[in-house]
Amino acid sequence: MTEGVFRVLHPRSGACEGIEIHGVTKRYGDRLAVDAVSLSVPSGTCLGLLGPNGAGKSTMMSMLAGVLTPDTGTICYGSEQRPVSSAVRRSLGFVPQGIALYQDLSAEENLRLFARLHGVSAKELDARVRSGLSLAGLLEHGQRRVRSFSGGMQRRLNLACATLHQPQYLLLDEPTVGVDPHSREHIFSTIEQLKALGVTLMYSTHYMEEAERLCDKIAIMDGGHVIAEGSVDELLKLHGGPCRVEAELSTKPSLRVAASGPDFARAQPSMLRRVTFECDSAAQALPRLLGEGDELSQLTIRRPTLETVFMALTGRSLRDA
Amino acid sequence: MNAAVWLALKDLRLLARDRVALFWVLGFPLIFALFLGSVLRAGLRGEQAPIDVVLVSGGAETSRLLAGLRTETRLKLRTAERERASELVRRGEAVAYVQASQQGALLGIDPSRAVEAAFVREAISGILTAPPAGVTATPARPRIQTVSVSKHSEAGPRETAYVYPAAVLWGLIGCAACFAISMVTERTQGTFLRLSAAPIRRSAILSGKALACAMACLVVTAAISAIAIFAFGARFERPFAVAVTLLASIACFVGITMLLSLLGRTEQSVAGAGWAVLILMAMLGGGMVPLSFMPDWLLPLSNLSPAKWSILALEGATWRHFSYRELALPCSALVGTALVGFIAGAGLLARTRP
Repeated sequence: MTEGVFRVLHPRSGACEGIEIHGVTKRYGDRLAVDAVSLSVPSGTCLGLLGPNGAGKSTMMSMLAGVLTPDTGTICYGSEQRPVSSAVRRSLGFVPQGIALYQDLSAEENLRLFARLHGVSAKELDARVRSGLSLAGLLEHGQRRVRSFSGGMQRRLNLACATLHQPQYLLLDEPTVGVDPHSREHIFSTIEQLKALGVTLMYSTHYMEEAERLCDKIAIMDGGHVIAEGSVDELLKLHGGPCRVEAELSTKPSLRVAASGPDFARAQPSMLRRVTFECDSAAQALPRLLGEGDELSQLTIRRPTLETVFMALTGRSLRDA
Repeated sequence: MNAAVWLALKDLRLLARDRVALFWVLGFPLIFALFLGSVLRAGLRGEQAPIDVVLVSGGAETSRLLAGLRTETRLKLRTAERERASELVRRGEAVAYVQASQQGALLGIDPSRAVEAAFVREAISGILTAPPAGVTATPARPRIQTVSVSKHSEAGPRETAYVYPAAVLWGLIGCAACFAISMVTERTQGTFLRLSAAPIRRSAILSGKALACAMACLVVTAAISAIAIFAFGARFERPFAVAVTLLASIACFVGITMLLSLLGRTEQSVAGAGWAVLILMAMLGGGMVPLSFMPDWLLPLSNLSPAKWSILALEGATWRHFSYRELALPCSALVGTALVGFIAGAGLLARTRP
């Protein structure tokens, strides 16, 4: 992927404004899919919607894309105060959760069609389509039918189809489901470059690693509600709990541990030279644990993750929920 | 080009690449049309169905003929002035008219219903040959002159022209059945979601489908017309009228297709519903079983079938020689059905969740 590709697809870096979501609710019959969700995505940043299947992420994304209408609440893009209007749609890219491509058209024909439907002029069409193929890493395969592509190639094309019209806002609904590591890395790299160019992103996923890597802020959803919101560090600090450290020392530590202050209050010497304890910062706690001449023969630090945040908030595992 | 045209071109390209679908859209209707045409040409029509006959009002000969024909249970009789009687036959509302005279009778027949007309001729011949009550002498052999009620050329219309409307009807039904599932295919493969997020109206999505369906229908009807003309020697003396009625029929079936395409959530349900509705329309409208085979109580229902209006319009344009005023009714029914189908389809599409 080259800088040139991004210059063609996103020449207006930094020009867009953010997304404001106020009290959005969506109900399917008796089931409340999204309940009074309010979020703010500053321009040029990436907000991750993290949650298990059925949390309401895709419904939220569909409302943001203007495909579904909220029962209550408002969604505003930049200065546009109306519900998702035609003008907004022109500045919006949407990558659906499923692969939304015509299987019997070639990659180039798919790109050409979606570019035209998003208002790309005939004059610019060829350059944009070529850039889209390059973005998807499919320059060599433009004439091949999508049906013959691997899942990863289709996912990359699925993403490229949403970027041809230079959207200011890009909505990605679980764009890496079922892809191989190579394609996943390609997609991450593409998203990071789009973000660097100032595109405002919303990224839904149930993979915490993706949210941690790509998103500036994360909103954790469960049962249609946003149960926590903030940067990864903020979420870990507020809801992640302490680090868990298991250390094996060259000397018996029990006396020193007991005398080492509040950081080790929860220390549990399990063997003669082994100690397990929880602390807020392993980097600060460890030097105080080690006496002069002590050596660490084994060290395991379990830091809190978004998984533990979700567990702390819901009592369930993110993957099992 | 606007979004609808791009979407229509996409659908036609997809159709061209799917050989099986292409066969069902283009090949099967042609085969069916040829088969149906051959069957109809062989004279399927008129076995036990009631036969409408109009007697031209007149004197004693007419009364005698009327009394005699009343014994034939298959005949449905009525009387009218000569002009009116001829008009009824020309418009397909009666099989034949009979004008009695001292020398015999004049029989004006619908040339597309020759078998039934032959039955009428035999019945008349029997009555005229039988001696009147109280007379023992055998009367002279009556002279029955048969004329074809059509404004065609002296050579008379070719048989192919009679089966052409039914062939076109089945071509359109084949296209409609195949295109009916294309909307639900968009939904199942997820592209409808992407299209719904694009800066285009939902009506443009439906218009694209309609345009593609109309193009396929045009190709099918053009192929059927070419076969009728070049392979079977059909002659259309009013090509403009034929074109107008073809376009009205195409519009009608495209409208029906748009409505059918939104009546289910799976390809199976839409395909099933589509064929069921279309076959029922064809049956009621005389596309499968001639209307003359239908019982009286069912005939009014045929007015509800666009197939009937399509056949009537095409017959009117090809060999019944309807005036444009007479063509207005069936064409209006077809265009009206098209509008209802499209508007209802657009309404359903607006409520459809991707």
